[in-house]
Formats: sequence, structure tokens, C-alpha cells
Amino acid sequence: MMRTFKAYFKKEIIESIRQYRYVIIAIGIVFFAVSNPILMKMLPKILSNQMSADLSSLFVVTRRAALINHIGDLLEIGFLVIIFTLSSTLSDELISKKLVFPYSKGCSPAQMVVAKFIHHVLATSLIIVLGFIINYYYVNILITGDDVPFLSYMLSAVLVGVYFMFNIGMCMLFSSLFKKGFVAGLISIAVSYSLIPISGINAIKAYMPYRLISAATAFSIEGAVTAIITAAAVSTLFIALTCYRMSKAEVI
Amino acid sequence: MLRVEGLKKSYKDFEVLKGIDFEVPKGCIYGFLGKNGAGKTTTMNILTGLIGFNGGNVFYDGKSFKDNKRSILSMIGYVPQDPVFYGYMNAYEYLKFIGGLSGMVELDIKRRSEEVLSIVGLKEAAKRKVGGYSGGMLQRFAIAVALFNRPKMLFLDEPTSSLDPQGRMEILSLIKELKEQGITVFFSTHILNDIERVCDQVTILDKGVVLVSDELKALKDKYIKPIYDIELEEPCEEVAAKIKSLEWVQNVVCHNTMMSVYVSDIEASKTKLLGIMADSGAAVISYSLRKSDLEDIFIRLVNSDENL
Repeated sequence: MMRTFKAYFKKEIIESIRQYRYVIIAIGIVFFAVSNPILMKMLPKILSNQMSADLSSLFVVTRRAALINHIGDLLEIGFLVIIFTLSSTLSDELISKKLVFPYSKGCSPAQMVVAKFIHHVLATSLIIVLGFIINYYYVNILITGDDVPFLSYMLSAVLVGVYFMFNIGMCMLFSSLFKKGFVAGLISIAVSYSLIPISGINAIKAYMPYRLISAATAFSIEGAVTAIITAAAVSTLFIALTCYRMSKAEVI
Repeated sequence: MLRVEGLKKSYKDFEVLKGIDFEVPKGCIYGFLGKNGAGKTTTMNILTGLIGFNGGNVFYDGKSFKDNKRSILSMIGYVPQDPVFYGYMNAYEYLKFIGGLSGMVELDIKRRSEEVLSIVGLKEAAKRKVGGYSGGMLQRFAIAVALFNRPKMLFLDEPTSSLDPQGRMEILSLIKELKEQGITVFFSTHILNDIERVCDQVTILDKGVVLVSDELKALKDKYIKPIYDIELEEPCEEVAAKIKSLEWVQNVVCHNTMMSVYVSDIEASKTKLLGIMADSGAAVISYSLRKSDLEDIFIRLVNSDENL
């Protein structure tokens, strides 16, 4: 029972270490966690040097604003790093015939997919939480005013983690469908970004995964429960479809 | 051990396997012979659960493969033609991964790793990353992986085709050792010499159809017929075409000035062939009669319109 899950979970850890996947994702996330508060701190000075009039008083940077800005940066750059790092997780295994031995040993495709998904979500979530802690620390050192409680910010990290879980599930589905990881990554990003404007429609916005980001930037779970349930349900559907696809895939 | 009944496989409109039947007895070395594109690898991939099939049935020890796939896969091993591993792992790590998939406990994995790496002679390289192995080492490691969960039946897809002569001999003697351990070996190849060296039974496949399936000895007794090897002074195409049209000549293989004439009626050939050669005006340098080997049988079968 669960032997494929255990074997693949361990294999994903070894692979992520040896192929610097953790390092790449950590750099993509932690870099902004550190650089964002520094840039926010320096922004008024940079602007005053660039402009003839002294407009620095218009750019008052508070802790809340810096934390919100970090979440925005994470979605723009960190998101790309995560998606492109994970987009070949199944396509590479299929195209390079690495699944021949595992499948011929009776490996369960469903357990393999679930092991990969849980590993990727856990690893990403942990690195996101670490990035939020580092960002919170630097924001509190460098910037003053308009405090946000630490636990509220950690709640935001969890909401962002759930949003990434939805995107990782979608990315894995595309990775099982397309031969090139790059294509799977591009389509995942295109779909994810196209959901943002749709999330503005009042009738459906409570259900849209992007609602999680709105809640994260408000440092509150209020109004996000439906989105959490939807994201979890759709992620489960993505993974179920991926399991089906991998059980039907000809691995050679 | 393995029974294949009416196995069919199609890719869209292209029928790769057109309902093949054969049976592999327990404990034998079974050769699966055919030209490139005959359907050998497709058959191997079906029998090892890597791809599905469109018709027919496969039975292992009387159990249907369709209904008992996972339990059957736990008792077979497969060495693909071009084995691919997670190159960032070393041999121990990969075997541990495979052991985990096969449900083996930690202690058994360690002990078995040492055993299989000794069998294939890779103990000294076991701590090196698999991605750095040579072609021969990869092939041997693939056999170690296939043997890891103590399979009752081992499938080898052209295991010697990319190896040097010494590597080939090592793999063939390993195959013989596996038979002595009671493992049924099913291996595909287009190297006929390998089949003659180790196989007990042979199936010849061509264009998705089984041409013949029998014990190697019976096959030789049944099909071996004389062949005339004739060397001419000039290129032999013109003479070959003339001889090929004769009723008792089955095939003529021509290579520059050398010509092999496969005959279906030995008596007719004995009395007529030399005379026809003389009438054609060809200058004959040498003329000899030889008994055909498996290669000749193979050529005869795949070139004939109907089974012999």
C-alpha cells in the first residue's frame, strides 16, 4: 500500500536537491522577500533624485504597503519561477522514457502523480512561508507605520500557498498533456493570468482562485472561504485528470 | 508460463500486430526474432504492461494479464532497448527507488542491491552517478534493475545490439546463468547468432504476423535446406535474375560477385543448376553447397509470400 507514493515522494526530494529545484524556487521567492523592503525604503529617495520637484512626501511607504507590494511581486516573478521549474515534472518523465522501469515494476500512476503534487505543493508552500517570514522581518526593520500583525501576514502566506496549489495542479495537468514542459508552463501562465480579469465579475468572483490573493493583500480570510474550497476542489479535479492521463499514457 | 492469443495492436489505421499467437514454456530462453519494424518491441511493450493492446489475450501462468496486471508485473522484469534512468542518482539510490516501488523492505533492498550489482559486475561503479555510465554499463545496470525484484520471467529487448563483442558474450552468458536459476528469459533480437547460441525456442515475426514458432532444434530440422554459394567473375545481378525465375529456386541473394541460391527442390538443383550457369555464359570461380543456418531460415521466411 502506498509504496509508489513513498518511493516517488523520496525520489522527488532527491531530484529537487540534485537538480537545484529548491534553490531555484527559494531564490525566486526569497530574493523578492529581501529586495522588496529595501527597494520600498529607497523608493522615495530614488524618486526625489529623478524628479525636479520634491514629490517624496507623496510616496509614504508603510509596512502594510510594503507587505502588499511583496505579495504582488511574488505573483508576478515568483509565480513564473515556480511554474517554469515544475512544468516539466511529468512531460520530461514521459518524453525521456524514464517511466519505463517504474511502470514495468507495477508502479501506480495515480500514486506517482499524487506524490509529485503533494511534494511540489509542500515544498513551494514552505518556501513561500519562509519568504513571508523573511519579508516581514526586513519590512519591520526598514519601514515604520501601519503595522500588520505577524499572524495575519502568515495567514496571507497560507492563502497565497493555496493559490499556488491550484496553479501547480493545473501545471501538472498540462505537463501530462504536452511533450514540452515549456509549453505546459506557458499555457498554465496564460490560463492563470486570463482568470484575473474574470475574477472581477461580481457573480463569480467569490469562487475564483484569484479571490485568495485579494484576501491575502487584505490580510484577512474574510470572504475567501468559498475560494479556498473552490481552489481545493478544482485542484483535486486537475490531479484526478492527471492521474487518468498518466494511467493511459504510453510511456515508451 | 506465458501464452499470447490473437494479440492485436494498431496505431490509428496502421496495424502493427495482426493477431499473433505463441507460447513460452517455463524456464526456457525464448528468442523473438524479426526485422526492424516487425513488431518485436511493440509486443515486448505490451507484455510488460507499458502499452495497451486492441485485441486478443495474454496469460501468465494461466492468469489474464488484463485482470491481474499489477500482480503479474511484480513477477516480471524488463530491459528496454535504450534504458533510461534518473541520471542524478547512483546505482544504490536507483535500486532503492525500484525496491521501494516493488514493496521490498530496507534490509532486503540493501542485500539485493549487493547481489544484483555483483551479478552484472557493477559493484565498483555503484557509487557513481548512473548518468555517467557507458552504454555497456547502462545495459548491465538495466539487467540489474530488471532482476531486482526477483522476477520469474525476464524480457530483454535487443540487449546485445549496442554492445561490443566482449559485452555481447557477457550478456549471453548472463542469460544462460539466469536460465540455470530458473528464470524464463524472453529476448528479442535481430542478431541471429545470439539466438543460435542461447535460445531453446524461437518465434519469427514479420510485418506483425508470426511466421513460425517452434523449438530451435525442430525449426532447424524442419527448415534447413541446402543453399548454393556461387562466386562469379562478374557482378551477378543478371544471372541471379535468370535463376530466380526458376520454379525450384526459392530466392537468390546477390552481393557483388557472390550469390546464394536457396532451393526448394534439392534433386532438381543438383542436376540442373550447374548446367544453367554454364548456359548463361557466366564465369564461375567457385561453387559450393552448404547447409543453411538460422540466418538462412530467417531470410527464407521473411522473403517468402507464404509460410514454408
